[in-house]
Amino acid sequence: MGHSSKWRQSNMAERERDLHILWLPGTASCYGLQATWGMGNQLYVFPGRNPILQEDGVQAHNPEATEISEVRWDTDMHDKLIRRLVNQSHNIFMMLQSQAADASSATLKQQLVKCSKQYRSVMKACSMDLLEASDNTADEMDIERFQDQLKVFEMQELIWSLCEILFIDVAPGGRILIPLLEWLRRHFPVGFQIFKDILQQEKPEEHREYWECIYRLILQGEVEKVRSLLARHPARQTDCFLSMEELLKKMPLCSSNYKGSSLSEFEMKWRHWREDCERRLEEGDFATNKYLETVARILCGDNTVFSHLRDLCQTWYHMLISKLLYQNPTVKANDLQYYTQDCLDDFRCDGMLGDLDNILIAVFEFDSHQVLKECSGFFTSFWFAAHLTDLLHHGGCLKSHRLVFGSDLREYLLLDYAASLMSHKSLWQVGVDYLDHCPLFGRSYLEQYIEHMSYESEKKAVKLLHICERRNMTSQVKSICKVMGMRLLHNDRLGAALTWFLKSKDVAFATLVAEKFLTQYSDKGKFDNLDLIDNLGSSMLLSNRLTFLGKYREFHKLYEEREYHAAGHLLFSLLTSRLAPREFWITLLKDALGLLQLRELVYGSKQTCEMMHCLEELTKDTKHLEAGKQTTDLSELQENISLLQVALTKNLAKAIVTEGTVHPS
Amino acid sequence: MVSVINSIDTAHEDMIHDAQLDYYGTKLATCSSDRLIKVFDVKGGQQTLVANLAGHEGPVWQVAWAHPMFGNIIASCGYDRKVIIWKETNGTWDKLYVYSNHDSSVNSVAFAPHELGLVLACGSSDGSISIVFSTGDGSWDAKKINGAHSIGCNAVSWAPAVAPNALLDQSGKQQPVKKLVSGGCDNLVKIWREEDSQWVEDQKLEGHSDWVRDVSWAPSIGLPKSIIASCSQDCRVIIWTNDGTFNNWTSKVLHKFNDVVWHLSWSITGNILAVSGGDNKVSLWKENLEGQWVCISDVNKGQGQITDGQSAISS
Repeated sequence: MGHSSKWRQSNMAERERDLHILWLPGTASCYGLQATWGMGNQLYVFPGRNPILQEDGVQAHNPEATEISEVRWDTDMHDKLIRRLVNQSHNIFMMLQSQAADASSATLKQQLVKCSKQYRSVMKACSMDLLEASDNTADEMDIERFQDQLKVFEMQELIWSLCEILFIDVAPGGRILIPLLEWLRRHFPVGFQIFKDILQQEKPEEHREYWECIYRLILQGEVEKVRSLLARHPARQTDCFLSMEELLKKMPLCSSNYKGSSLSEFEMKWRHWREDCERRLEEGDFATNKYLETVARILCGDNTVFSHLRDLCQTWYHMLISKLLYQNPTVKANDLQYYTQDCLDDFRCDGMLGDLDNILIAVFEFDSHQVLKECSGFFTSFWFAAHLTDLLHHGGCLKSHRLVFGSDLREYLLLDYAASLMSHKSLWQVGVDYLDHCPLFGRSYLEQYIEHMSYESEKKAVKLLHICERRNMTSQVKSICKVMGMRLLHNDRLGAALTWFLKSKDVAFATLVAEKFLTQYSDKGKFDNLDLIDNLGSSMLLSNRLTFLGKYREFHKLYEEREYHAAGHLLFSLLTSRLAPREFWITLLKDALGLLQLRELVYGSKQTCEMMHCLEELTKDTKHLEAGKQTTDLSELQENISLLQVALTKNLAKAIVTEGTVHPS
Repeated sequence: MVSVINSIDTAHEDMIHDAQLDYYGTKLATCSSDRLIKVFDVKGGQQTLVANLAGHEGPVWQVAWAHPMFGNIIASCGYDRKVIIWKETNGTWDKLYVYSNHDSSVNSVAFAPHELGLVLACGSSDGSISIVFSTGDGSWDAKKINGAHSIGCNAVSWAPAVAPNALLDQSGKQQPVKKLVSGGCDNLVKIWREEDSQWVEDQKLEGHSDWVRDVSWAPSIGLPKSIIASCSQDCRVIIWTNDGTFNNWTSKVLHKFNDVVWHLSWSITGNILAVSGGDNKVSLWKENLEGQWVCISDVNKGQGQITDGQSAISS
């Protein structure tokens, strides 16, 4: 551990996420405050309290305080401009998860680098949107909000890209400074901006910031740009300028040139060059020009000159990279942490470090857990910490460190991120995918959320149903189907209700609907929703009652098609297999009446006997016949029974005769 | 960042005692000392009063929503010793059933998980708990736990129907859990279970030194443990946990507050606990990375000097 971390710990206790306090408008109530949960991160808060017991001795009367406030938090992602970030990073996240599952470790590294860059470009795109929005509005509140968000994105990009350099896209040993310099240039563009400005001047050397710009550029290793500026100076042919030009030209570049050569080769070249710099400085090559002398001292890595130019570095981490460039250009990534302290000392005014400083220090120390913890505390949304954690997790940069309650840091943050999306009217669908990738709690969280998801429309119910079916969430499937089915049942839409109960294979309710269909038929003498019943197929086997309904309808079809034998046979088997409910027997027998009265014989003697048996059983057990019937109905019933008795007896006689004719015994 | 998105003027003429969202968070039922229950539609940021339910003859203490598969059903309880079950049909709310078998104020009502059917628990100042249930053919029946808490029962809450170890045991069908927890003026938290169709005491949890004001059983979130939160007049909130194997409940004081804690409620996924009380604050508590319960947010009632109440202030 570097000494910087000891210093940090002594200055800062382990810190949790900042506590947010929301003050509700209005006057204080002397009865306290209560809250009730909504979906996701949502509370309804109201003044008031639970039951007043006699012993409390409080007189309740406070008619002014009857307002309820809807409170939400972690809503950063609900902002229209930020939603793009949610959707695009969701795509990257999903791609990464599937790649991490399939790819070998070698290809995975490339994928991780690619994903990391994609995440950054989405952040960048979002910044551009914010910038544009900020330019296009006159509302000062909005401008302030956009600017704040922009600052957050800049910080996030700064941290993310540093993590990418040190954790994900690691340069081969000793060459870490190249990407760090690029990182620096990207985040500290002032020098380059002045440079462009100066080049447009007729007399560059007269530009107010000519030398300052040279210092800035040399601190970022922009040797070519420095040379081009010096070459525009009228004194460029003087000895001191020529000497500097020679040094800069000979500087073993930390760029592509040294990629080809070996590290030791480079180190040797570098030593020679440094000795040359020191020699020229000592010999007074630059004594006539104090500016060039400062440049030379930078090249020599002189500590005091860096402290002097502190303000041009702006931050300790700029100074860190600048110093390393001239003092130890082949520094190993793991050793970076040993150099942070000196730079911090130079920048320490009041002894306090900001959150961003702490995060960056932790990155330089390779303390990934600390980085993520600090980030989740610092940024108000979980987007950043959750996605960075996931990336580092797949890169193997997180120790599989189990938290006390079971899940790991990655899951902890992903759950929080998903929770922040669940209360939004459309982003919840993105949240579902994130929950899928939380192995421990994801599923039960999703189950709870789904149970509380509203579905006014059939479309949304179907969407939810698919989500549950794909994940084999049988209990939720059942619950959704039951709620939808019950709603339709209440509105007397039997067919639609049955479809929902069939989806969840709900035997009890499918039976209930089948019974309602049959009652409807008994009352009206016809079926509604014929299509559905005709196409039940194998799903009719779900319940006996439903099977009966389906078969009974089949009988009607056969009868209509004049397939009397098939119809008669089906009717007979419905009756004798006891599949038909008792109270429906009389209806079946009445249907048989039509068949019995045909010229041709449908039922043989044996079958006729059995049907007579059924009729007898029915007349004995009158409760099935009389239940809920009016007296007029009863007399009609009696009439039907007599009709049947006559028809069956006649049929029996006819059958015996016919059978006797065909097969003489 | 915590912020106020909307506010709803309930127009109750007296103190509000409870507000509950339906299962889907689209309707809000409130009840008050003005003897009324109001139902608001709160979909999509709109707040519309859809019903005024009058029927109680005294302050209404609590309301509860049944699972939507039973239709739109609300239960309410109050000082008039009554429990009323209300049902909506085609936009009109009517009394479905009135249970008046308590001898004193009914302080708490809670619907059981839907797996158990249409079942309701009520806790009363007469010290008893009633389990009221629909028999399925339109009539209602009840069982009573007499002397559940001497001096009075203040709160009831049902255990999740799915056993905490259900994820480990995927063999066959599981009987739904039928348990509830209650808190009362005897400073105790008690767990009850149904055995041979009788309700018996399962556990007695001692830890509070004054009346227990609220108890809340956390939803099951896939861990093999049960969690109950209780709060009390002694200003403390206790988290009770059971690892599912033995009837061994361990307690941990979440925090000692500056005032009486009235009310507790768990978020949908059971990872955040909202605590509110006499100190005019609602605080949100969450188990942090180290397994400690920490406060993540505070919602305070303004003290008058802060007028710009719409903005969040970070400490």
